[in-house]
Amino acid sequence: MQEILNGFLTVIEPFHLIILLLATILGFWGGALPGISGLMLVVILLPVTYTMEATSGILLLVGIYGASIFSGLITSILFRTPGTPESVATVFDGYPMTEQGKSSQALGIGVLSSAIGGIFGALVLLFLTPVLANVALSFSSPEFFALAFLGLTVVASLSGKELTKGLIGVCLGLFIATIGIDSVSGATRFDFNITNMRMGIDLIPVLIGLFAISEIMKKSKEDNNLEQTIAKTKIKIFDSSIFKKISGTLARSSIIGTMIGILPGVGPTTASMIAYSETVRWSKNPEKFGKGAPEGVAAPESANNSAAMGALVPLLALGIPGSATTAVILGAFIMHGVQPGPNLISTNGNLVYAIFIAAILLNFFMIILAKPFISTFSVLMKVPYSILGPFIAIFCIIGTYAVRNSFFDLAIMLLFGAIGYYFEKVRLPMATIILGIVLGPIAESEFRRALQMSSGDFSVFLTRPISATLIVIAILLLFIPLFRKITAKRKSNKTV
Amino acid sequence: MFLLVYNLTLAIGTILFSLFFLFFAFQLPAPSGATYTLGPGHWPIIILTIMLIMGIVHLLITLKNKNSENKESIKQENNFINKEISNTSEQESFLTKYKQWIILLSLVLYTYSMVYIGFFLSSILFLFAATLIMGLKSKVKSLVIAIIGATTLVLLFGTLLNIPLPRGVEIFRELSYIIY
Repeated sequence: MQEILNGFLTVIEPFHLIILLLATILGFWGGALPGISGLMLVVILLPVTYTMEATSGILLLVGIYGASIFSGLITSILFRTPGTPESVATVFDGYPMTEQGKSSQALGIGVLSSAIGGIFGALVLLFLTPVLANVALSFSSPEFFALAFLGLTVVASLSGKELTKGLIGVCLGLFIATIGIDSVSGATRFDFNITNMRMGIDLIPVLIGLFAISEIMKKSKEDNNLEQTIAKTKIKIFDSSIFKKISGTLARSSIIGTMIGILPGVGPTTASMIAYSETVRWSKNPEKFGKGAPEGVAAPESANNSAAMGALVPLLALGIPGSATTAVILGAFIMHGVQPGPNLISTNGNLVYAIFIAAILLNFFMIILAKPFISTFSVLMKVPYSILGPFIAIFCIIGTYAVRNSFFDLAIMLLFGAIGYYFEKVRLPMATIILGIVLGPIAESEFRRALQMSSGDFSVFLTRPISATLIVIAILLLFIPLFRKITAKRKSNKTV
Repeated sequence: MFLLVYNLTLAIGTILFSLFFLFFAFQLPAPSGATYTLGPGHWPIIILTIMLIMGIVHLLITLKNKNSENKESIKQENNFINKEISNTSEQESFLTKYKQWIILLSLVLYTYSMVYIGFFLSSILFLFAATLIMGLKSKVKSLVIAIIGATTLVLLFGTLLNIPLPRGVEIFRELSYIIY
């Protein structure tokens, strides 16, 4: 209880409130402007937080993360183009509502559902994280390696149908993490006598290159002078008659969302899809879905926001990122000298509880700011990508340069921009590379330490019960998609 | 067809990449001392070996799927040709075809010029060029955006947020101190 109060006091410091307010507005932009995703915004702003103190920096990123998932609903409902992948399911019923002239009602439902889902998810985050972290406190090197290994197998769900590509990506990431001075032996690895390489390849240039620069390259091929217009809308967020209608959907979808969010590798996007299909299944008149049912907006929006909060549970309790964005946030923790994991609550309790409280408070900020944001949004939508793109490019350059004042990092960023563009073409999921880079150092050092503990006996990972369980789960997670593919093939063969 | 080529390059690239670095990984020093430790080379060797295997697996999968993919891509190409016939009036110019690489090249030049002429001037040049490459029609508009944009960025990041920006060399360095 004392910790919660301390966290609350940290968040309501004026500076942190301003940070959170700024995060909400930035996140709104990131989520609503097509061409910028929440992930990209977090990636670009990560270096900017470098100069900030850890709490402010991380609050900013977590705030943007939450707000961007929220604001994807705006373009989903108004233009049928989801601002973020998490809001794809919102299009199904949100856009038909706009066609029927009920866009303001749809937006209102979206805002309210998001906030309720987000608050529910944040409360679960607040109470479940310490419990889970407590269990993990007895962990030693083999368990930590097993945890990192489990985190790495998230690759299976990130790579969709083509597991080999995902594994190539994760290996590339793990390899990049080994470049530079080896922290155990002091030997330099793969530096080819280049001074800058000896320091290792930093996460940020790779991240910005892969995600932001490659995206600018991709977008440059599209027609960038289209302007979208937006009709003036008046939004009523709380309407008691509608609230009654959707309250059941909200409760069910928030629970589904949080649970799915906690599982590693399945994020808000999956959560919103599943919540939508469950709502259709439970409904007494499923035929009205897809034609503008209020429940069809409420379900995905409450689920994706609660899942976004749920995804923070394994990150804060175990140090495992459940999605690409949380992997980047994990990188932010490490950059600020904070190692997420079971010890995080005891070493940085104040920071963790501040994140919890901020996650709850964020939803109230979103309710308050949603209305003015949506009405000023029309101005923003008028900026074409031919202007926006070059500015994003400059933000990337400033951000990368700011971390180490290094032109070498800029060269790496541009190199990975080209690599990212190619990987996009070849459909290699780029989040897997980030996963490898972020988890690589932990995996390697704990692997070596565990083997030192056991004097080189590899069975140490399988004789300790928790480590063995985690490794078995990890292997199952890795191979389930493969089994599913095989059984699906058999089925289709049979029908043929 | 394109995807097949991309997949083949990915597979072969992965195999060559892992072999190349495996060669260096095996040359890393062995661990010394009485207690059991893994040397700096072991972990990279494990990873690169998995990568090598994945490269080979991906090559085999790609070759196995080659036939079915070929059929599909022929279909797609036919569609593409049909589309092209209808679009002959708007033939792709060099700029539109290689736009993404031109943008990347402009970023490389921008970064390179920053070392010499500093952030402010190179940003103006880059913004002017990039907005035009990206499809902005009016040159005057582009120039105005470039000057206002670069000034705002310098004030925001250099002055307000105190983030170090490249200053360039000699006279450009001296001049930059006037602005930020």
